[in-house]
Amino acid sequence: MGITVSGAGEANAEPDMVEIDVGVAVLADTVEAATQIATQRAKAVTSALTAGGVLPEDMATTEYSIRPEYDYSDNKQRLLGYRVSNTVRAKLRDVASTGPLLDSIASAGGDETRVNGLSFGVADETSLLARAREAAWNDAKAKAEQLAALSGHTLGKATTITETIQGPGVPLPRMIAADMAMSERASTPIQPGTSSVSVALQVEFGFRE
Amino acid sequence: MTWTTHRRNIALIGGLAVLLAACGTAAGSTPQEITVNTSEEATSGISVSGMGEVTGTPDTVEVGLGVSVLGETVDEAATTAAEKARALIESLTTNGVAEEDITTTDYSIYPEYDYSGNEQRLIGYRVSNTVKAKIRDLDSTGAVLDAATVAGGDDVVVNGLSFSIEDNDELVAAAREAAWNDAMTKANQLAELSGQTLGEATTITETVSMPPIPIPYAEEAAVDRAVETPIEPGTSAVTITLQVQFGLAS
Repeated sequence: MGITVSGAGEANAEPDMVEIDVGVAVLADTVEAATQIATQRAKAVTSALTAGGVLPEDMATTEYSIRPEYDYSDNKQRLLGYRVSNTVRAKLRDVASTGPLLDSIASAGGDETRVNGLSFGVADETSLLARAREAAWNDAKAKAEQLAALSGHTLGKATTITETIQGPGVPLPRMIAADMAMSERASTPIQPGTSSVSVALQVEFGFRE
Repeated sequence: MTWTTHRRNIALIGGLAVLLAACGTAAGSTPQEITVNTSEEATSGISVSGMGEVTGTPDTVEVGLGVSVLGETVDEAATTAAEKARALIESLTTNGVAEEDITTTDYSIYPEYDYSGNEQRLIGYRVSNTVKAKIRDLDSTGAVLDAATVAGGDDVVVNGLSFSIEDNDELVAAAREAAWNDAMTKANQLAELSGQTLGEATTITETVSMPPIPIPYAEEAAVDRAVETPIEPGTSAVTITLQVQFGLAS
């Protein structure tokens, strides 16, 4: 006896951090040469990250690899050299300085710079999730109320509540207009937008007699 | 088959449907508790599903677009990309896109190689800066895209667009009512066919509540550059499915 519905809720907040996947990739004739150059470049990139506001504890190496690189054209395998890659994930908590930081990374690492993407987020999602959960509950309740009314019942208490999904939602855009300070070189425009989390509930309601 | 076992089968099928529905809702998520009604009253009655679909007109369109610049050095490509991206974003805001509706979705720097000929040859470095823009005045979509194309020139990239209904509460409620009416009609017919009178609904489960699925269609692409790019929002559908168990009036 009862009504079972799902409820979905979403909550949004201005992002307070951005994660950037950045690194260097160096090709050289020997592993030793590639390693040496990669180390230099990686240090330069790391310094740029630190100078740009990234805390040392917010930087983590995500990949380090050494591989031979071949050219397979002309029906032959020809050794081009050795590729050393060093990638870090850097968390920047001042999202407004993302554009300038990307620019200084590109300058620091030169042509060996690689940027694999970025994503904005909220460092502590607890209160955001609580708001999304409340929205999900309200959604489930509204659905159940409508179904109770349609079927000529009065909705009773919830008998089973199951949180089925919780996680980042579709980010909604919202701009933080702080990267507009123009230098002689136009800095990379970055729009942090808004971070979003979502919660889904499965709720079973009883009927009130 | 006796009547008793027949009724049990109906209840079993009903329970299975609830189970499947619960699994469907939770697809790709953590396992959840599934409650199957095994009480005595659930074993007697009529179990049907009802579906309701309501179509609405999209009120927003989200466009993925940006710049992708190839340069001889990372520095050169990054500088040009910054200029172009700035021009592109300015063209968006000039054409009515709110700044809070523009968000950066990707920024990347990669080398680009040419694999033709006899060897792998470095062509340069590609810097990409991609944003997602939400256009709320659908009539301006073509003009916004055209202006972005002009601003970004040959470095502009458009990754596609999708229409949606931002505020679809009324649509969903209408779809739910249609689903209920559908279930009632089916149950009434089955009660009549079996020579019984339909009782109250004892269990109602909303099994599927799909987000609006855009059904876009585009007109023939304009050849004449003086003509604005035609964009057609089409319609979006909201579907609700209910599983309803009715009792039988004695």
